[in-house]
Amino acid sequence: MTRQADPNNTALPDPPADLLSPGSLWRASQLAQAGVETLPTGYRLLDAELPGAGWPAGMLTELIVGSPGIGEFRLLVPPLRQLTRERRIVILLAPPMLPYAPALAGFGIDTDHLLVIQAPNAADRLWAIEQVLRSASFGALLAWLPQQRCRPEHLRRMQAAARGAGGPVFLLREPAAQLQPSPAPLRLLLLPRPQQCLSVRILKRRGPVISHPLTIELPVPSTAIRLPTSRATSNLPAGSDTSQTTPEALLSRS
Amino acid sequence: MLWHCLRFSPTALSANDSLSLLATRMMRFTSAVSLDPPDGLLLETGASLRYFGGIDALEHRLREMLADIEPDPARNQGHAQGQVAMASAPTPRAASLLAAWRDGARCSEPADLPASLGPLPVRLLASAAGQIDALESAGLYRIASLLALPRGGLARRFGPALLDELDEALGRRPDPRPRHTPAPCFEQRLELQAHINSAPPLQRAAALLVERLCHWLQAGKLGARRFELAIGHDEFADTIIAPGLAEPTWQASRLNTVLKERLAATTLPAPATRLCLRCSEIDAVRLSSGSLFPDPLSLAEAIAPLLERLQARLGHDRLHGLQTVSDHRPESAWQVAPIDLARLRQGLDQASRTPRHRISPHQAGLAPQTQTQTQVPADCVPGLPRPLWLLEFPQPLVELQGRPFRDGPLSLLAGPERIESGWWDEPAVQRDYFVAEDPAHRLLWIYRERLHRDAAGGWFLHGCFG
Repeated sequence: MTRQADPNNTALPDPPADLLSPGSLWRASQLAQAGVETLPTGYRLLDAELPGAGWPAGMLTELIVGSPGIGEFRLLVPPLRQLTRERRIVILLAPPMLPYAPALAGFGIDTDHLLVIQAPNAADRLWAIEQVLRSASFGALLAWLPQQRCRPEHLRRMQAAARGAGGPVFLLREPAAQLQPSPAPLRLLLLPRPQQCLSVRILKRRGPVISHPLTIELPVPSTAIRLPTSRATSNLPAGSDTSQTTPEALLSRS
Repeated sequence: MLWHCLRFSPTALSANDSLSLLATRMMRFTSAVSLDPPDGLLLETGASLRYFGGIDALEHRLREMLADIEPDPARNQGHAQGQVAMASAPTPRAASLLAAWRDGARCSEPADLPASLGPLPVRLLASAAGQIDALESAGLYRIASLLALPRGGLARRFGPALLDELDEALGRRPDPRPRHTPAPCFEQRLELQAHINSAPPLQRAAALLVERLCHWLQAGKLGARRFELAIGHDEFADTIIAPGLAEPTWQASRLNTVLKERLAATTLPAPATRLCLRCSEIDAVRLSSGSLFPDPLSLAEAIAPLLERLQARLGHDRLHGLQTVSDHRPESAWQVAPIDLARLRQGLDQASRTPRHRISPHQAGLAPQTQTQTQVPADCVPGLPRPLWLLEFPQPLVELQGRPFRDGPLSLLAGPERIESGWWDEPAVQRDYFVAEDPAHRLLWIYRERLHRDAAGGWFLHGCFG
């Protein structure tokens, strides 16, 4: 609908209606509403900042870990739980240590659908990642890349091979990989924070650059005893004595 | 009923392609294959003529398949013509006689049998072997002249066997032939023409044996789960490669892929001179029909070849699953589980049928409720939480100022949980477990040893959360 150009009216005319439809105008602030399937991450804060609101399927997601063991595996527990519940296979390729089955069961991950592949040799590991990506018969792949031998052309081949995959592909890398170029469409840097939180900085995504890191609370396996944090010290269950037997007190006594 | 007879020239029947092997190959066309020693095979093809599209198409396919019979070059200059003579007739005996006479002879109706067999020379009859002179001196050169004689006189003069053979050929007398069954186990040898040092020619030679193995498997509707290739050298013991497969299969491509990976990783002590392929474990094959478009069920089929390829290159013990064991001792509370392919595949089939939960972008604000710590499984551990990573051997930690030390003093968050178990078994355990945090904000699972015989009171790191 057009309006007569009125010389007394100084307000800007509204843009025509068809220009506002999502496909026709690209705004720099919008996230890619990509035509890819995504798996919900399980954290509302992270879902809001990822294109497609979840871990993308069929493309590489790089998780660059500040130091091993700060919570990168726990971050991925919600999608793994959902996938194993849906009976899709989750493949762990070359994990640094063996995952502990009772802990996985405690998180609700069904270990029947978990496959562990050991590949200490770097060339074998890269070959195995490509083979798994080509077969496209898995629900999710978590691969720990070898530190030295991984070059950008390996990653490009993996990205091409991952296109047919039906699930997300996570590559866990060492901190030095931040400075290396990578064809992965989503790159996250994970740094530790106190009280079981993890700082997630999105280095690269299909969308606007985000400057501040997100702080995500990591899941703790459900047990009868809750770990003391600053909020939860008042909620310890009645079963455990909290009066004199804090761990520090026990230590000094024995 | 229509019988095809194939007669092989002596050069085609070398020691490798024995008659029973060829019979097993022919079982792709019909299950009624009989041997007609010394050099013939009989196939009952009347029942499957329509499937093959007529007798011409069937004979064309038979010749195509037989075209790759490799004559032994030591005995022949290697031309493929004249290796196989094929003939067809309503009775097996007549087909055999026609094949011995001329390649391509055909007789379609039982009523035409006397006319078709008439011109054949008498020496083709097996029962006339010792009496050729007598027959020729009586002027009986062709079977037509035999058929014209009275039956009683023929039997008295030349023996009842001759009459029986003629009756069987003409269909007047039943001639049951026992069916060939493939051998219960498969073992094939191949002498290599030249000494082979490298993997690609060895793969090609092994591919011949693998093809025969697949024919044998298909004839019996079986799949191979493990097979063994023994590479023979002159002065050394055989090098044995025994790849295993994730599930029983009869496809040559999968067997060849697995063999190729293993051969590439093997080093030979000396050049190879002979190969022997044995199939040790066979099982019934799980059949599934193919699909035109790639659907999720076909993805479920792809997992088995993937596992085979990975196992062939990395090693059989490098792929495994995990299983919990009911034990209080942490290092015994889990074990490595072999891969259960049937269960994985069943899961994939079911997963492909249920629609996946997909979240659309504008619902991102209403994130699903799969947040942390909401769903408690029924069998949660009634103690400290368990770490996601467990060290294979606990690492001793230094103790400084009364606290365990690892890149800085560790602060204990929760504990102690005393685990005492295993007094009946070797790794008896008496430990106090704590959850600790190190200066880099990593959660660790550490314990204090209580047993007095080794490192009493010492701190050890057993696992890492995260």
